[in-house]
Amino acid sequence: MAPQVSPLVIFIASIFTNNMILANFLGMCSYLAISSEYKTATGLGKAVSLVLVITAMVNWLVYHYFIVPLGLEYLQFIVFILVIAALVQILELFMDRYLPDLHANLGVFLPLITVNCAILGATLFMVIRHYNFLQSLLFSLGSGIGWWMAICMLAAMREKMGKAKLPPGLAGPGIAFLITGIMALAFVGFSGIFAVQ
Amino acid sequence: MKRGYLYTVIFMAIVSIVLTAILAISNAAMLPTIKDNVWKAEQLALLDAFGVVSDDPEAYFDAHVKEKDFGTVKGYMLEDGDTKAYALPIEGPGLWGSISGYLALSEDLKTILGITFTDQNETPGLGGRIDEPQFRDQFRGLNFEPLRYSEELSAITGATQTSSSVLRMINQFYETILPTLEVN
Amino acid sequence: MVELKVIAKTNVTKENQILRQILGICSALAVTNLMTNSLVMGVGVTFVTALSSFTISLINQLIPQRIRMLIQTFVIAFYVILVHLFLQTFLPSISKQLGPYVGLIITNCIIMGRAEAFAAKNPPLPALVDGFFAGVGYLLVLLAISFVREILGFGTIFGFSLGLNFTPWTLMVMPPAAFFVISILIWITSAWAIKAEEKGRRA
Repeated sequence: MAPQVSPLVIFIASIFTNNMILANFLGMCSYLAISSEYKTATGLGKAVSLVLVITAMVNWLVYHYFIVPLGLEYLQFIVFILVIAALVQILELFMDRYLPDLHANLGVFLPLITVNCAILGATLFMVIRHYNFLQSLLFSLGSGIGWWMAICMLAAMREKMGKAKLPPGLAGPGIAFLITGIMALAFVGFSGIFAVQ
Repeated sequence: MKRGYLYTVIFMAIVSIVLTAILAISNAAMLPTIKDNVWKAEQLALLDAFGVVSDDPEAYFDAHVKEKDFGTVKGYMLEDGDTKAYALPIEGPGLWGSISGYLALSEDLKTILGITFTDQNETPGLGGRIDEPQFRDQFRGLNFEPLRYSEELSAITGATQTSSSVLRMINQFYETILPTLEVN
Repeated sequence: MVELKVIAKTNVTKENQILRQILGICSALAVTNLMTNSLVMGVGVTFVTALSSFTISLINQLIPQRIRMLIQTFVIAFYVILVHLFLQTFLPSISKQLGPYVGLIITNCIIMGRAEAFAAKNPPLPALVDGFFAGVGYLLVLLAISFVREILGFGTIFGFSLGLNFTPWTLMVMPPAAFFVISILIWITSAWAIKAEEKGRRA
């Protein structure tokens, strides 16, 4: 058996060098729509991270113990998206019942999350790259944290920018993309951080 | 119009059955071609590693290339007239996931004939460019010894990590697997 | 039939999903460093948007309210799987390059957006046209972005060399460039839209 990519490297890479938003463009819709205020942005970031880890783990089990043994690989997209939709529902009910404080904070974001590309994206990447359980866990954790970090940074900058005078066509999504581009450029600078292997 | 619980369940069941049935039929119809595509791609990759250009790659492959057991690993052997060559599987971690492919060597195992990748998940347009001939052709005809990037052998710009993974795979193969190969 | 023409036109220009509504960027930007990949991805999205809008509009009256989202997702995923099978069968090398991004068409907000905003309220034929042209508008934007990126990054168009003798601009191949190019595109189109609106107000 060939040596595997170390889970720790995957963890760091998925936060910095291959950030879900800045390098893989996943979860852009809610990233742009919910980033004008820092407080809501960080709430959404937390909710996405939580759901991302839970769904990736459940989908890993479903893929290896249900889809592969039954030879249903061609149905995997439907299965994954239904698992995600169901888990989000269950999570919402569970939080409403047992964690009302958390639900008050994150509850509003949960329905949005089902259609967040980052969630399904993490699952698909994990399957295509043949990650084992530990690799998948750290990959989804890193991806969630990376997504959270990116949306917080954008929101913080957009809050400040509310006071700036921009050319009329650039205000709104235009400038948000421009900032994201500059952030992505800065993150390219991280690509040398793991020489260890 | 308000509908009952039973209706919802029946509706869901019908939709699921119809859609899944259509998918199952399409999958059954296309699966042989998909599998064939994968095997054809593998054949082409192997011939490419050997440096063989042929008008009818499939017929050439059937006529001249055979599976071969090298003791520690299983690979392929090419026999065309007097020329003999071997293709051996190489594998190692890339930036994102495992990279695997074949390394084609001359009969005396001292010259690299070519390298090819059959499975890699590197960043498209960056690390993914290890698939391109410009990168892979650099390896053709090199003496098989521990390699490093230099004037003659250049890494891919912007994809340092993937480029060094490839060399690490080759060098590791040289150190650990090459001495164990049983050619005859 | 005038109505269908109007639907087609507004979907490609005035209400272009990416440039004006800022939807459906997720699965798209990642494949815009090569025009061939953008074309295949765009055609896939067009196919899925058109047919899922059509199907949803067709069965809309029958869908129980409480599982509407679920059924819509199911229908969309169904067409995405067909696209995936098709690519694996007939374009295996492109299918491999697109990797997970084909599956991600499911979560492309355009498709769900058109299903909710148009298909659920209109008859099947207009829904089909609406979905089709929403997809075409999307395809054109992808091609525009990848046109800039492929020329500057590789010096090629659809993989054919232009014979330019220059050092490729590696940044164009990397992710940040996608953000810069789309931001400039949005800037230009919104500036136009604002100007057109002012003109309209004065007249």
